[in-house]
Amino acid sequence: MTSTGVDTRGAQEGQESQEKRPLRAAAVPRRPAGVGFLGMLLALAVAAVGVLGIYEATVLLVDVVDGDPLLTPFLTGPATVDQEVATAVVAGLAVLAGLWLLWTALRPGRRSGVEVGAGTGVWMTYGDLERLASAAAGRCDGVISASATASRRRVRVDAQTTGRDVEGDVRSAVTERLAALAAPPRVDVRVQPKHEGGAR
Amino acid sequence: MNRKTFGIDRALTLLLGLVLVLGGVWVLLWALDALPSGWWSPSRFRVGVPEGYSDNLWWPWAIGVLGLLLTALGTAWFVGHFRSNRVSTLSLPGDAEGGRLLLSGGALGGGLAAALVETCEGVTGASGRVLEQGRHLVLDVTATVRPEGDLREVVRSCDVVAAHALHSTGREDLTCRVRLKVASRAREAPRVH
Repeated sequence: MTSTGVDTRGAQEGQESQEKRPLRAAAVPRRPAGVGFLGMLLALAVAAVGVLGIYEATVLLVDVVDGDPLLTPFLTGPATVDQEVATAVVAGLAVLAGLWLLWTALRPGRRSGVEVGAGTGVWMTYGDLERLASAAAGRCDGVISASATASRRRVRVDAQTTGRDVEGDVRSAVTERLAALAAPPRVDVRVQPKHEGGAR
Repeated sequence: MNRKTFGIDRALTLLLGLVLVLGGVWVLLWALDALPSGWWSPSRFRVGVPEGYSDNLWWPWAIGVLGLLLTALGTAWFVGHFRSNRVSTLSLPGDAEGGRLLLSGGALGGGLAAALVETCEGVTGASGRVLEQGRHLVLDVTATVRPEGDLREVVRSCDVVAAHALHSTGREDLTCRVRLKVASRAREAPRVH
């Protein structure tokens, strides 16, 4: 099936669905793994070498194009490899680069966010989770400003407050706000009273 | 980027990595004179094409044809990273051969998004589309929610409109994914006594 094609799969499965049952959940998308970006660079490199080959052939075959051949001298030039330290260093670097490529190719993409508990698939990114948590903290009495950093298991809220006694309120407000997530993360709150340390 | 391009990226990166690791280890051991006895171990070797090759009449033609091939392959590979995996039309139940009872993927996504905005107060805007991801058809919706909106209510609305989508299309193989995008918090005065 392509973007212009007609999808016929499942067309004959009949309308046995119940009205109350939502569509099945699709998995939370994963961030494109680094290998995708690397693939783009490799594709550009392959195309660039190809263009160089076309230029080379044009220069060698047709007199119309002014220029010196680039690939032929490079490919046929004297290049011998000897058993010396410089060769070992270059080989070592090549091994490291190869290991990095293998790691990049095999590393799975990270999940882009967290699931929200629902019958169908509902999710939000870590950035949205941070906005949600900081908004919940910012609405607590005594909070001047709040920011949050989120990961899969933990949300950390940094709040500038008028006193230390609001920490519990902030924690419960954020925890209550994130309770709708399929696996609510741990909430850590760090409050910073604005004038702590003495008035200046 | 579609799955096929991603597979090509992964396979070629793996291949390049393996060549670099295996070749690099061999050269490293050779340069340090630490290759096991019996392994091919020349005193020196020459890289590049053999001497005299470039004097042949076919040399520029070979370079040119190879250049054309690499340019075409590289360009197709690069463009593949931007290919959409959007599904334009879906066949509805009862249309065994396809082409008679069709539903636009954009209309389905847009309809679900509009229903979400209409039924849920916490959702300020939404958009939707149908994608093919691997072997799955995904109704992919992005809904912008107010930061102070009730998440449980939004989730309930998502379930209701997703149930309606299943009921109206009858496509059991369709899956759904709603991204809740939290709107930036409007400027408001801090709640300080």
